[in-house]
Amino acid sequence: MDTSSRQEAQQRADQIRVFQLELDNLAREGVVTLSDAQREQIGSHHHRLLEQYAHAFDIDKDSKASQLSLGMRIASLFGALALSASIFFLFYQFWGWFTTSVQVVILIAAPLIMLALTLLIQGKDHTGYFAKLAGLVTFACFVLNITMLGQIFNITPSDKALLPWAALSFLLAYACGIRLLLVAGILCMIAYVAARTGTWGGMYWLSFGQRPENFFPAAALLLLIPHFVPHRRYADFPAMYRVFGWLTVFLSMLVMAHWGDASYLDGNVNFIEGSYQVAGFVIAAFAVWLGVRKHWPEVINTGVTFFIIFLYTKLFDWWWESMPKYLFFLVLGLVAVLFLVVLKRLRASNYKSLKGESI
Amino acid sequence: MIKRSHTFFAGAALILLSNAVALSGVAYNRSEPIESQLTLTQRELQHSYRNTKDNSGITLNLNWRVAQIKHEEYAVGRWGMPSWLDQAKLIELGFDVNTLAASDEYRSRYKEALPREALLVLELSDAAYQQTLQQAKEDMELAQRLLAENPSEEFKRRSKYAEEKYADEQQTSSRLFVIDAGLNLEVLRAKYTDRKRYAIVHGLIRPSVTHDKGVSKFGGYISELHADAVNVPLAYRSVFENDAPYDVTVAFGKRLEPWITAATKHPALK
Repeated sequence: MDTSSRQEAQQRADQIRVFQLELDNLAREGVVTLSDAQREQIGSHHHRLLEQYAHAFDIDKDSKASQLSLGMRIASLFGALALSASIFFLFYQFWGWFTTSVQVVILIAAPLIMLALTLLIQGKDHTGYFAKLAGLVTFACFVLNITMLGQIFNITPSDKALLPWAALSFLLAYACGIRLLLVAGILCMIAYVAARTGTWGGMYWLSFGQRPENFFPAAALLLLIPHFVPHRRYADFPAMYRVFGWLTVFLSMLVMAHWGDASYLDGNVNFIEGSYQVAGFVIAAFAVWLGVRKHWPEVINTGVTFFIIFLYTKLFDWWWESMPKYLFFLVLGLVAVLFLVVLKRLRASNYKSLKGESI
Repeated sequence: MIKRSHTFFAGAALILLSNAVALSGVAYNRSEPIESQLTLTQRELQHSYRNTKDNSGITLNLNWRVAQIKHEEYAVGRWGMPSWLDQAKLIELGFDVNTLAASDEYRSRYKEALPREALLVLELSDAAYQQTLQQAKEDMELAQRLLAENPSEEFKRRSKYAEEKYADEQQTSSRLFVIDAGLNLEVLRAKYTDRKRYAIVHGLIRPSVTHDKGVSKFGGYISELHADAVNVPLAYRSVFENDAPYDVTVAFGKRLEPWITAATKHPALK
């Protein structure tokens, strides 16, 4: 077994299931029929593989199992959020009755204990759900740790707290394969880089949201990370970086397209807004092209979504006041149909090029 | 694949290092000599909105005010424009007043109108408070004079209001005023040398400009004081568990962050 991650194992298991179904269909249609010996050989090989994967990674062996897994993922998420909230409120309920030293010891001990527990659970739990729950609670304990230290000692709020939070999120995400913690780390990183960019621009760090352009360096960093950092073990992590990188770009541009006042650029406000609107279309189209070229479906979907959003907001600006409402929504509907046609052609041409490559 | 033990050591080192950095900053802030020390009462330090039944901690908020640009009616609060925050002060704090005054481009003004960090000088029970008290007294005397000359319900109401305001200023209103701002701690401290009457803290100032008949009037607001909440340690908890008045000694350290060094219940209102 040369599979190093649960995701790869699950992919292989899904391929095996689909292969078995298609083989049955081909036999039924008389296209090809394997001999009993061949069937036996393939079947026992697949059975052995699936057993190994189930033991090592607790994969979903069939569609029913995958549906239950989805339920387990949701339960794990809600459980983590509820436990984290419980820890916050537990501390708030009793901290006033402890001396400062005891408060500090509890705050430092909580994330350390949860970190140890998370890694212990990870070693015993092949499903990953319990480790995910424990990992999220560990992160919550660390956020509580730094936040409450600030409150106990009246420390001036600073964006520097985002750095250790991001670091622990990434550490746990890569150690335990927890995508949600990767997202938490990414969000902390976006906030920190944007705050620093704003500070270098002369503003107070908490005002970084008042200049959406502060988010562009963070977006660039996120888009570059998967390019320079190989992710052999967690093949789904690069997609998260790409999605959040593109989301950061597009959301910032969308805001700037309607709020030119907030730009760092000097110049006419209407010109700035118009430029961002045009840039939004161009970059969304570029994202779609890049996603198709590199086989990144998440980038394609993000690009398409924001192309439509930019288009709809433009149509709203042009026609909402002047056009009857039924006609306006008819136009929106027709635009969506046009997109469907274009994407269908794109998919067809992509299929043809794949066929061409296989020949 | 990273070993779990390595992950634990890396995570533990991160947690411990983060706490060490935070706590060493606290130790530095509280190291001698302290920057200033004020003795405040329940008038200047009030229970925070954070103190709820789900939160057993006690936090006190600094109740500060500014002496505002004089209007027809007497008003002192924290959200008005300080009388000392004029064009010269804005220039000193680094704001581009020419850009602020440009009335044809809101965008240009908006960029400059974002709040900026500054050092703010807090004065306890001195000139600013005395001036406010005197103003309240004069308003009360004027209202009483007007009532004597025009005994109507309206003047009676105004007189009563003015008397209550004067009584508030004497007995319950905060005596803590923000009286100045700057960018250099040494320069400000050289100007306000009494460390038991003047505290310097970090805060935010937001500029403002209005146009009246082609003339630009500059001012601003104090958006925030960074040090306006103070945690009450367990040792002093009993002082704040009921509505009795209290005296609290608050020290401000090298990072201009406050902490309570003493707290006692006070026998009577000052």
